[in-house]
Amino acid sequence: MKMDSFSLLMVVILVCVFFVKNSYAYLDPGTGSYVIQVLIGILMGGIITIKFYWKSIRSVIKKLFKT
Amino acid sequence: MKKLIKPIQSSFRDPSGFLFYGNGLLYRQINKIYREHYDHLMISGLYSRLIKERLLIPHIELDNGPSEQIEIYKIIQPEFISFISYPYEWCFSQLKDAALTTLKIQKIALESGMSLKDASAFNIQFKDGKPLLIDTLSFEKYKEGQPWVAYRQFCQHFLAPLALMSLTDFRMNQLFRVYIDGFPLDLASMLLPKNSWLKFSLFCHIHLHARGQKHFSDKQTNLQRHRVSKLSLLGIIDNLEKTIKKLNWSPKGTEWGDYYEKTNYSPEAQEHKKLILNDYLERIKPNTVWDIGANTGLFSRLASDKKLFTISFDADPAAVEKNYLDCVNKKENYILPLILDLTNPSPAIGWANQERMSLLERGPADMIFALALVHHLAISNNLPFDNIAPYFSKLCKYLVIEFVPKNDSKVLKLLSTREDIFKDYTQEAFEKSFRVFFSIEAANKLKDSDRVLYLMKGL
Repeated sequence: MKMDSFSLLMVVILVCVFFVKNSYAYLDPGTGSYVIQVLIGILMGGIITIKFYWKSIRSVIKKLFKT
Repeated sequence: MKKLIKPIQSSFRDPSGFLFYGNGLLYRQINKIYREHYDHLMISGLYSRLIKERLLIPHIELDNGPSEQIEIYKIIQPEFISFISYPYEWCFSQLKDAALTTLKIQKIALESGMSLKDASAFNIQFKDGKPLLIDTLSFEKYKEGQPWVAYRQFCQHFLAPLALMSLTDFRMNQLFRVYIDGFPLDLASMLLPKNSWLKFSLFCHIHLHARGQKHFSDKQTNLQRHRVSKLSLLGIIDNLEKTIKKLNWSPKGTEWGDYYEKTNYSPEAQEHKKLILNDYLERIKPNTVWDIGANTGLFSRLASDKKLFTISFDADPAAVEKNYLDCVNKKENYILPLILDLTNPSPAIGWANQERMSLLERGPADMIFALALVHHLAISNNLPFDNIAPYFSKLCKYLVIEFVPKNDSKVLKLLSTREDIFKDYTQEAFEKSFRVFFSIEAANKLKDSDRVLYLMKGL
């Protein structure tokens, strides 16, 4: 089984963002889950946004290449 | 009512309220701190929609009158659930349907400005053949930017068990007996096959999540800085839903169609057995029937087809899976297939061993079917009849039990690989042991067989 290029890119982004360190306040055992959720949320939100605007994005790209 | 209140031992974690028995009926107290959320649930239309879609347990509000207890906001009476079952008793598809129900509820809740504050598999129960949420106090008002507080719990209670059952071994749901708050993600990550790292969703929600938990377990972080937009939240839920829908399980090397079709009965003997069982059901008219060792539920359906609430227990998760899928396909409302090994029945677990009930505490059933079971208990498990009879007498009021003699092909097979140390395995000894706890109301020898069906009444 091969990991597709999109998955690989996402992994790299996640790992990069994940290891940025912030340490200020009280923590609890759910902290890791919270942070992971925020990161996954950014990705999933991005994917949904791209899906939503996909037609517009595609037409813009097509126009760019035509000119 | 106040003086007769008996709180349920599993209902102590959430300060929003608790369940209790009063005058033999089940109620839920809602505390004032939950008022804002409860009112929003009822007024926003969310409650009505969830009830309409059969996703939440319906309830009625009681006029509890003036109360001395200042924390009480309302008392509600939820609809009765015939039998409380637990995730370690569910097959793969039951847990999968429970997971998808939880996500569907969360999606609908977000549309009404609310969010699930917990996502425990124990909050889902099967009623009329469908999974639904039984905790009315699981909702809280949603604030934009707020992460899903139950995300960790959802991964531990649903995603990790389903992934393990699907990709590692379908018996993995038994870990629920040990880990009452869901599977630890580090353990799930370790037990999942290596190729699960290449599945993007499982990589994120389980492997990366497990490492995230470990990484932040001894670090301080400013949670206020972390916000999840509603779009992101919907993206996560959508992704979890797609991931779970893709997880499947079926027995290897065989087709569902011919799984468990082999019996050692002649068609005449099988029809005769059905006739006798129907006769017993007509005579006793039980409200609840437990079919123990039900296989795929052939005889359970004699009871459930009569609209008697029937639990179809079997130790083999594959048989229970097939039974459940048949129930779903045929939209059967009166039968609940569950995994149970009677030689090691579900124990009482959790805090003070009182959070989750043992099998015995959830009985007694009006009637138990123990068909083609006694030789497994007595010979495979070395249980003397004197030990089998008293346990059945605690589990039911009426017992329908099939005696399988030593010359039966199934017993001969069991004895073929071991020494016969069962000199007392005789019909006379069987009757003698059971007569201590039951009166024998009927005994019918099956056609084309030496097996005997008994109808017994608890003394």
